[in-house]
Amino acid sequence: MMTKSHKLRSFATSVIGASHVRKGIPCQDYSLAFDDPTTGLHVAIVSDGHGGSTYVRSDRGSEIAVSVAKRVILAFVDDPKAHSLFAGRAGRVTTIASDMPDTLIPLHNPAAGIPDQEKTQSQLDEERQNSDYHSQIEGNEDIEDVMRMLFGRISTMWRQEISDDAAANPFKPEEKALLGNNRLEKAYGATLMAFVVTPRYWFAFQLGDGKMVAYQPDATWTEPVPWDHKCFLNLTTSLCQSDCVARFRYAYNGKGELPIAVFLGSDGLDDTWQTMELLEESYLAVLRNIADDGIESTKKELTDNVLRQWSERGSTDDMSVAAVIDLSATDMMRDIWDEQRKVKTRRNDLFETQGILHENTDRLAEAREKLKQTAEQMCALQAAEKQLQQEIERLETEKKKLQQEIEQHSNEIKAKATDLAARIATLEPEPLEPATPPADKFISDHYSSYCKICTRCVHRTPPPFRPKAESQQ
Amino acid sequence: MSLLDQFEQVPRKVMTLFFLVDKSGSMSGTKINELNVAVRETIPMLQDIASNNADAEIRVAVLEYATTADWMYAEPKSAETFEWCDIRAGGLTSMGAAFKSLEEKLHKERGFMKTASGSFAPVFIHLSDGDPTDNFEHELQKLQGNNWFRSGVKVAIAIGNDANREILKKFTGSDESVLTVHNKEDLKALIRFVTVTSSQVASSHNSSTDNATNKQGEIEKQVKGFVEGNDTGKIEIGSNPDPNAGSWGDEWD
Repeated sequence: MMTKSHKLRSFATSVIGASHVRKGIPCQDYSLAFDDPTTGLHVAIVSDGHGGSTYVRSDRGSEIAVSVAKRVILAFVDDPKAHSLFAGRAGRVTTIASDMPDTLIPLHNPAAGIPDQEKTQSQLDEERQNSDYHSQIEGNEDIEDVMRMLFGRISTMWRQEISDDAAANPFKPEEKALLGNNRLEKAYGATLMAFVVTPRYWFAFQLGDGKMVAYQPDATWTEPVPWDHKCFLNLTTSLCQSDCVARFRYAYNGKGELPIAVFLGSDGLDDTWQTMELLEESYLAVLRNIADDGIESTKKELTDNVLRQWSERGSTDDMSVAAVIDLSATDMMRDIWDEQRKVKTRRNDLFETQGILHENTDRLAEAREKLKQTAEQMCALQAAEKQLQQEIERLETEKKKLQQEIEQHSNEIKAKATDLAARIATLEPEPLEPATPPADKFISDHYSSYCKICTRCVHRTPPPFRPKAESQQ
Repeated sequence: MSLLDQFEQVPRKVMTLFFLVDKSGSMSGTKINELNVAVRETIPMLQDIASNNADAEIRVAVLEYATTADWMYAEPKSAETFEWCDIRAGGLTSMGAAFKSLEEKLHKERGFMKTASGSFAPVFIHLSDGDPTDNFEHELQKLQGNNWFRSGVKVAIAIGNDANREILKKFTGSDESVLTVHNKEDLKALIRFVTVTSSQVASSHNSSTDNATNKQGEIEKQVKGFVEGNDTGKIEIGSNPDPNAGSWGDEWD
C-alpha cells in the first residue's frame, strides 16, 4: 500500500529531433503525464511514431496512442475489480509465447523440432522468451487475462481512432504514394509504454522499443518490464502489427514496493547514450536536479536545452522523457547523492591517481631495468678494469725484468769496454807499410786516390767499363 | 551548475564494415592482386570519412575464406588505424565455413557486437568468384536468423562469370545488391565505390530514414547510378543478367 508519506509527481516532455528539423518532418514522439491528488493516481505515457517513409502519419499515431492509453488506464483503475487484482502480488511478464496452442492471435514457432545447435540466434531468443512467459504467468493467469484484455482495448480503440482520423482527413496523393498498398495501420504505426501508480498498486506496460528504467530505494537501477528480443536496432514491435496484443510486456506490484522514480524514454535517448550505465547516469543527474531545483525547472531545462543538445550530438532522433517521481524520497536521497557525487569525484581522482601510479610504476620499472643494465655494465667495466690492472701489473713486472736485464747487459758492456780499452792501451801501433800502387794499370789510370789500408780505391770518376782486351791480357 | 554540465560526453555511434573475401585458388593472380590493391587504396578514404564524422566511429573486420575461414584481425579495428594485410589465394571455397564464422562473431553474447543501442546497422560486402565447395545452405540459414545480419546492409560483388550469383543473391536478400564485374578496372572501381558509399550511408543520420531497409535501398540506388555512368559499361546488376544483352566475357589478364 502506498503511504501518504510518498509525495509523487509526474512530468513528461517531448522534443523534436535534430534530423527531423533538418528534413522538415514533424516530431513523431508524444508523451503525457498527470497526477490526480484526489485519487492518488499518477500516470506517465510515451509513444514513439515510426520514422520510415511508409509511416506517413505516425505523429498522429503516437498522439492517438497516448490519448487512448490514458482513457483505457483511467477506466481500468476505476474498475473495483482492479483494486484487489494485484493485492499482495508482484511480477513481470514478457510477450505471449509463440508456442502457445490457444493464443489470442495464433503465432508460429519456427524452432519447433530443431536441435539446439542447429537453431539460429533468433530461434534461441524466441525459445528463451517463450520459456520465461510460461514461468511468469504460472499462478497469475488471472492477471494475464485481465492485462491482455486491457491491451486488446487499447489496440481496438487505437485502430478505431486512426480509422476515424483517416476518414476525417483523407490521405493526400503524396501520402498515398508513400503508403502504397500497405494497410492503414502502417501509416500511423507507433510504440507505446506507460507507468501507472495508484495508492494500492502500480503497473507498467510496454510495446516496442525505448527504455523504461526504475530507480530503487537501494540506489540501484532496474528495468521493470521485460525486453522483447524482436526489438533490435531499428526494428521494433508496434501497434500497427496484427499481433500487437500478444507483444505487449508488463509488470505489476501490489506489495507496496514503489521505486523512487520510474523514467520512460523513447529510443532517441537510449540510442544517444548507447549503454544502460550512461542512460542511468543521465537520469540520475535529472533526479539530482529535481531534488535541487524542483520538477518544473528541471522539465523546462530538459525541454528548452538538454534534450535538443542530446539529439544534436547523439541520435538526432525525437526525444521523449516521462517520469513518476517520489519527491519525498528524492529529498531523503539528496544526502546519499551528495555522498555518491563525492565518492564519484574521489573515485575519478582515484582512477586518475591510479593512472598516474601505473604510469609511474611503469617508469619505475623502466628505470629499474636501466639501473640493472647499468649495474651489469658496471660489473663488466669493473671486471675489465681488474683485468687491465692485472695486465698492467704483469707489464710492470716485465718492465722491471727487462730493465734489470738491460742494466745487466749495460754493466757487462761497460765491463767489456773497460777491459777492451785496457787491452788497447797496452798495444803498440804497428807501422803502416808503404802503400803500393795497385798492380792493375787500369785501376791506377782511373783512380785518383786509393785507400792505403785496404787497397780498395775510391773512384773519382767511375770507369765506364774495363776494356776487354786489357782484361783478357 | 547547469543540468547539461552534469552529463557525460555523448559517445559516438559505431558502424562496423565487414568484408567477406573469397580467396580460393581460382582467385589467384590478377583477381586477388587487384582486390588487395583496391581495398588498400580505399582504406584511406574510409579513414577520411571516419575522421570527418563526429557522430560515428567506423570499424572494419575482414573475413577471408578458402579451405578454412579466418579473420584478418581478432576484433574489428577502427578505420583510423586499420591496415590491410594482402591476401594470398589458394584452396577451396568453403563459403559455409565463412557464414558460420560470421554468425559466431555476430552472436550477441559471444561475438563482436555486444550491444545494439547506439550502433548503426553493419555493412557486409561479400566478394566471390565461384561456387561454394561445402554445405553452405544450413550455415546461411543460421546467419539469416541473426539479428545483426538481418538488419545489416548487404552487397555482393561477383568476380567473373563463374561466380554463383544465385547464392550471392540469397546472401544479400536483394537482387539489386548483386553486382558482377569482368575485368580488373571495374573490380577496383566497384570495390572502392561500394565501400565508400555504403560506409557513408550506413554511418549517417542524414539518409531519408535511419531504417536499415531504406539504407539498403539508398545504397542500391547510388550503385545503380554508378554502374550506369561507368565507362566500361560492363558491370552487371542482378543475379540474372538479361539474356538478350549477352554476358560479358571475363578479361582478367
